[in-house]
Amino acid sequence: MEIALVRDLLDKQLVDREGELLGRIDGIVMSYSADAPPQITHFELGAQTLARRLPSPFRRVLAWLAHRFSPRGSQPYRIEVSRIIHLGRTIKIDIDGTRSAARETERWVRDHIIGRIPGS
Amino acid sequence: MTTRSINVELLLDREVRDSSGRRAGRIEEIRARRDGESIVVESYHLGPEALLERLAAPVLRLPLFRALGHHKHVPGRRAQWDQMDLSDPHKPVLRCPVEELPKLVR
Amino acid sequence: MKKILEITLGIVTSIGGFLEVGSLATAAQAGAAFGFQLIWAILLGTICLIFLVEMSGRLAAVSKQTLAGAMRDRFGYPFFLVPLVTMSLLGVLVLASELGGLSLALQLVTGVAFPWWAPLGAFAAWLLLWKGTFSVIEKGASLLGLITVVFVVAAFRLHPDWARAAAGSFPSMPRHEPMRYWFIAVSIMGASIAPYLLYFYSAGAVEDRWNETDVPVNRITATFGMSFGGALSVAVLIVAALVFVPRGIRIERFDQIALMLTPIMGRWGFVLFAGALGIACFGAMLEIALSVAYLTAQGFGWQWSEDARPRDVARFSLVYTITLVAGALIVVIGVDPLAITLMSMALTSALLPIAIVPFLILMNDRHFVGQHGNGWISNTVVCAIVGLAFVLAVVSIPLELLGS
Repeated sequence: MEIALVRDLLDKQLVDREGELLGRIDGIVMSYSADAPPQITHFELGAQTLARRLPSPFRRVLAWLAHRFSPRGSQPYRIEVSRIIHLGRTIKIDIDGTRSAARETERWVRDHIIGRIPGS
Repeated sequence: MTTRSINVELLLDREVRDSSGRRAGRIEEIRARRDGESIVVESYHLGPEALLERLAAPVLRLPLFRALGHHKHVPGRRAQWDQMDLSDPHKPVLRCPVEELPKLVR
Repeated sequence: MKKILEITLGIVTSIGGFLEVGSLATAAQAGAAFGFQLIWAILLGTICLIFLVEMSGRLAAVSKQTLAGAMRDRFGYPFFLVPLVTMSLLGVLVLASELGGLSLALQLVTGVAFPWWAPLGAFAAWLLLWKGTFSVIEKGASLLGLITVVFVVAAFRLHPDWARAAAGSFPSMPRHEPMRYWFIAVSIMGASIAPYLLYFYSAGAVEDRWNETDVPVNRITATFGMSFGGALSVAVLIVAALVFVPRGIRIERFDQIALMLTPIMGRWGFVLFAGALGIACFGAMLEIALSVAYLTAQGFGWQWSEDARPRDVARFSLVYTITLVAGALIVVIGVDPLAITLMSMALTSALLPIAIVPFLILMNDRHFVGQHGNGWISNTVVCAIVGLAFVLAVVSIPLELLGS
C-alpha cells in the first residue's frame, strides 16, 4: 500500500482503539542506514516535537516553554508504527487512550485546573 | 553500518545538493510502502527551491488560475531511497547529478 | 416533513446569530453618515458570507473534518500557527466588542456603568458553555435572537423611499468625507464576513455528523439564514438613515445609537433596542469563545465537544474560559466599545485573506471534498469580495487612524 508521508501521515489526527481523539502526528521518526531503505519506526507527539519544527528564534522560546510547563518534561511521546490499526482520514492506533501518555497533558489540565471548578 | 534516527518532518523543505554540489531542490514529500507492520521509504520528491514558487504552488493549482494559464512552474524530481545520502540530515546530498533524476509529472 | 422542520430550524438558528454589535454599529453609522449609500457594502458582505458558510458546511459534510482540522491536515504545522494566532487574537477583540455591546445594553436599562456589567456578562456566557449543550445554546440564543426583527418592523413603519434604497444597493462615490465612507464600508464587510462563524459552523456540522446527503439542505439554510441576517442589517441602516439624518445627528457614541427606535416606538423602542442588542451580543460571545476553542483544540488534535462535560474535554474548556476572561479584561479596563467594535471589524477585513485563502484551497482540493469541490462561481465571488475588502482595508485603516 502506497503512502505519502506528508499527505497521509504528518499532522493527521490519531484516534485510539475506541475511536476517541488522541492528538495529531507531530513528528515521524525514521531509522536510516546507508545501505538499506529507511524505515518509519515511530510517530511522535508533543510540544517539544512541535517546537523543533519552528524556525530558529521561535524554536528556542517554545522549546523552553514546553520544557518548563509540560507535565511530561521534555520527552516527546512516541508510538510504534506497528500499533497502527487503520490508515484513513484519521489514523487508528491500538492504544487505550484513557491511560496513554499521549493524553497526559489533558489529564493534568483536568486534575489541576478544570476539575477544581465546580460543575465540571 | 550505523543506524540513526531522523525526524522526517525536519527534513522537509531542506535544500538538497547533488553530487556536484549544485542545488537540486527541496524535499517536499516522501513516498513509502506499507509492508505488513513496517513502513518502508521508497523515494523522495524534490520541489522547486524558489520561495515564491513554493508558497504559490497550492494557490496556482486552483482551477481559477489554471484557467488563466498558470501551469508553468518548475517540475519536481524524484530521488529513489538509495540516491539520497542522509548521513548528515541537515545537508541532504544526492549520490548522482540532478539531471539523472526523473521529472515528476504534476 | 422532517426535512422541512430541519430546514426551518436551520434557517432560524442562522438568523439569530447574525445581527450582533458589529453589524449593528456599522450599519447604524453608515445610515447616519451616508443615508442609503452604503447598502451595497452590506449586500456584498452578505453574499460572500452565504458562499463561505455554505462551503464550511460542505467541507464538514464531505471531508468529515472541521475547517480548523482540515487546515492543520492540509497545510501542516507551523503554517497552521498563522491562522491560529491571528484568528484567536482577532476573536478576543471581537468578543470584547460583543461583551461591550451586552454591557452597554445593560447600562441602558439599569443606568449602571457598562464596565461593571462586563465580568457578569462574561461569567453568564461561561456558565452557559460550561453547563449547556450545543443544541440548547444554538437554538435558545437563536430563537431569542429573533427579537432583532424589531428593526425590520421599524424600517417598514418609517415608509422609506424604496427606490432610493434600491439605488443604494449599487456602489457609488461619497459626496462628503470619502475616507470615513470607505472605512465604514470596510467595517461593514468585516462585520458580515466573520471568520469565527466558519469555524463554529463547521464544528457544529461535524458534531452533528453531517454527510453528503446534507449538502443540498445546507445550501438552503446557509442562503436563507444569512440572507435574513443581511436583511436585518439593511433594516438597521434604513432606520438609522431615516432617524438620524433629518436630525443632523452624527454617531459618535453608542448611546446615540440606542435612541434609534424611540421616534418610532416610544419608550418601548428603547427597551426593545437594549433587548435586541443584549441578546444578539450574548449569542455572538458564545459563538466566538467556542470558535477560538475549536480552532485551538482541533488544530492540535485535542478532544473537543460542546456537549461533553468540561472535565472530559479539559484543554478545550480551558481555551474558551481563557478567551472569555481575556475579552472581559479588555472591557473592564474601560476601552470605548464603539471604537473597539469599528476597529475590530475593519481589522477583520484586513486579515480575511489569512482565513479565506487556505479555506479556498481546501475547497478545491479533491483529496478533501471529492467531487463536491467549488465551482468557478464560488471561487470567483469569494476571491473578488475578499480581495476588495482586503484592499479597501489596507488603504482606509491607516488613513482613518491618521485622521482621528
